[in-house]
Amino acid sequence: MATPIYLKEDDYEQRINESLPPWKMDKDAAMAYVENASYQKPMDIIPLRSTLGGVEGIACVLPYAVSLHDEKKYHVYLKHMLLSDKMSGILPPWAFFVHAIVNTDSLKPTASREAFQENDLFYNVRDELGECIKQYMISLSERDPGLFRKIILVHYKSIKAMAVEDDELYKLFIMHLRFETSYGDLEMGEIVKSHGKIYVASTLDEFRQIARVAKSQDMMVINGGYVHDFELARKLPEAAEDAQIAVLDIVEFASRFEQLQGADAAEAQPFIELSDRLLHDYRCKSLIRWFEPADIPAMYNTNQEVNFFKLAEDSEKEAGPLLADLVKLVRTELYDEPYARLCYNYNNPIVRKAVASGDPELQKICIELFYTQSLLMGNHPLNAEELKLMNDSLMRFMNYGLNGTAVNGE
Amino acid sequence: MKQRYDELNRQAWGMPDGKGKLALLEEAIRIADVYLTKDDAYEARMTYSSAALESGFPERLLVSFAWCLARFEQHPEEHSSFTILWHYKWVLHQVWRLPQLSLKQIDGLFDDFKAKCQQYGFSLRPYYQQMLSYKQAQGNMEEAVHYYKLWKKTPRDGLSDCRACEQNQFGEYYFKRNQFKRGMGAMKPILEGKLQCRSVPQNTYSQIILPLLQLGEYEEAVRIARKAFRKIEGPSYLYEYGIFLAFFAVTDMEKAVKLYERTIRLGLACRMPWDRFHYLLAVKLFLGEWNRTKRRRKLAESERVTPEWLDREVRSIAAAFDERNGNAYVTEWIGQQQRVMTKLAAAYRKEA
Repeated sequence: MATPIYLKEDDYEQRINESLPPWKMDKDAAMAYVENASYQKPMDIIPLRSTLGGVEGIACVLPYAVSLHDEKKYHVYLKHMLLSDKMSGILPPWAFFVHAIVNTDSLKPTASREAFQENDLFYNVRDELGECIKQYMISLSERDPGLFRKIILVHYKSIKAMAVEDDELYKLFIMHLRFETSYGDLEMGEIVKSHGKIYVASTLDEFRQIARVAKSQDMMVINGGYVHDFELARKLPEAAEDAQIAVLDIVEFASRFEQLQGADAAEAQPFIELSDRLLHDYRCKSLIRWFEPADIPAMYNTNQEVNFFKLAEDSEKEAGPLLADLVKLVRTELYDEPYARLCYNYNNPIVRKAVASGDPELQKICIELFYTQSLLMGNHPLNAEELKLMNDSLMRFMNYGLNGTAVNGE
Repeated sequence: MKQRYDELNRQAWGMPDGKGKLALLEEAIRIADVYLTKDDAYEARMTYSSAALESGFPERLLVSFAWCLARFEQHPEEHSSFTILWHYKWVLHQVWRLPQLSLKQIDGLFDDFKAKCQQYGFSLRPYYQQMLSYKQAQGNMEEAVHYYKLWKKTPRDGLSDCRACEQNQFGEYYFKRNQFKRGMGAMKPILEGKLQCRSVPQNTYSQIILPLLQLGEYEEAVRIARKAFRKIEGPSYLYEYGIFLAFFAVTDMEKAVKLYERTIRLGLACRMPWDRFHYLLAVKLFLGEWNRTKRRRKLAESERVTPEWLDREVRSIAAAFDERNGNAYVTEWIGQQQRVMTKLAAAYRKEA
């Protein structure tokens, strides 16, 4: 308010209102104003302007990370009168990394005067304000790359949401954004430089299954399991033409490892056949390859459909005839039956011993233990039958060992 | 394990609707089955059912629902009859979308729902309403009229859809009978914002586009479509995306391309034949417009999504429906949509 208001007591006198609204201040003054009002210093101030809606304002870049779901409380003035200090819709949803203070002369308030009427003008103004933030970020990247990177570091979540929505911003930001990969957390720029061929895993779970092994295979895999990361990675060729990106097929992942040759392959064949027979009921197929690291005896890979199929089978068993038919139809007509893969590592000495063992009973126990252990290692929940399998095979295994000691002791 | 179960649910809660969310909930169900109580397993599936619908995998709802219904039938005293019947309505709204399911099987499910409504003291109003949707989708207008009348006549109760949803379907019914003005009249309270809910007016927009064109209100159609483009979000609106994709292909190609790129993977992943059919038909119409001029830009999934592939896919699904329904309604729909598109193109090019 332009008219000054003073608080006066005896000799003490202090002006308690600002003479200028923050959108009329220069940047330093606006920074100080915001810091004074909210006890936090913004990282930067972005001027907002919309000619359509007669809007002037500022967007303060928050100094801490916020979540997309946090309530947005923008301060909105109508003709210099505070209309609301908790309005959320005046900026596009992706702009959750700023706090806005704006004044408008021409948007129409609702009857309750708590918000604006969401008409075409309102949305056009919102888009225009969004455009202000975008253009500012683009110019900032050239003017002050240090601050630009700092903002990305704090607000990568918001910026990822922005980049998914908008091609121009995608190209601006993508190389600076960080992703979890089989080589640790890296910026996309580094990822593209180090590997020509890049894979993206579509879920966190799939990524975890293969992250360790992928690195030893010199494979660059991006974890696409977090919000937006999958889409961002998949759009990569738009920003880097040479980059090749492929969605990782988790179940086929192991088949790219080095195959066994000649005598080794022949020796392993009966073992794999036995494993296939034993694990058929658990909907798991087996293969054997040579891969690093050697301390992993077997790797279990499954895509998410396997859990869904187990649910479908349970439903089919439980349901009455009408619904059982329906579930069966969904399972067989709409989906292909998925199989998980258990890939033995011929590089692991225990696996080689198990393959070489001439004792089919011992081999059976080994296979069951490899299977349940790789389930446990991969954080896959064991169902009742799998738990029982693990217990039984452990008991038999202990028995074998104890008997063996007894024999040796004689 | 309870901790892991809670953690999975918590994670799912914070995730956007989609396959990732369902994967977490599926794991939670398996944990509940093995380590927790039957009650937990039931609740986990009920949560999953609604997430499946909202994530664009309606067929997975059928799977979780089947288990829950069986459990409810064995222990009706342990679970709410209201909630399971509410889910049953969702199921009835899906079953006719599968041409592999025979009419006899579908009727069986409807009969079962009707019997359960009576058994647990609910009004038959939702039963008639679902019957109406089913008959309309079959192109059986005579029976649709019959069920419409019964629906309107039967009193409302807690199991009925909310007023906004019902009003929306009144409008849709008139549109199906080619009574466009009357239909727009029914939609009026919704468009004026007097009636709304979680899914209305989002799915109202797609329904009034064609009637507006029929009434020659081209500018209004453009306005509504733009509004819808801003408002409709999430994987459960595939059918709506299709309608606007075709519409924008004629009126605003830039928006159409944006919408296509945003939704095509969702469309390709869709397994429910009815929804898949409508979306791919819209893509076919969109590509028809797109290919009218030579373009340098390559669209997403352009290797897979070719006009020939789309044509084959759309026609084979339509044929499956027609065989089940014993008529040619769905195949005729393809030609009808193509004619609408031609008419639309003529009108807008003249306007421009």
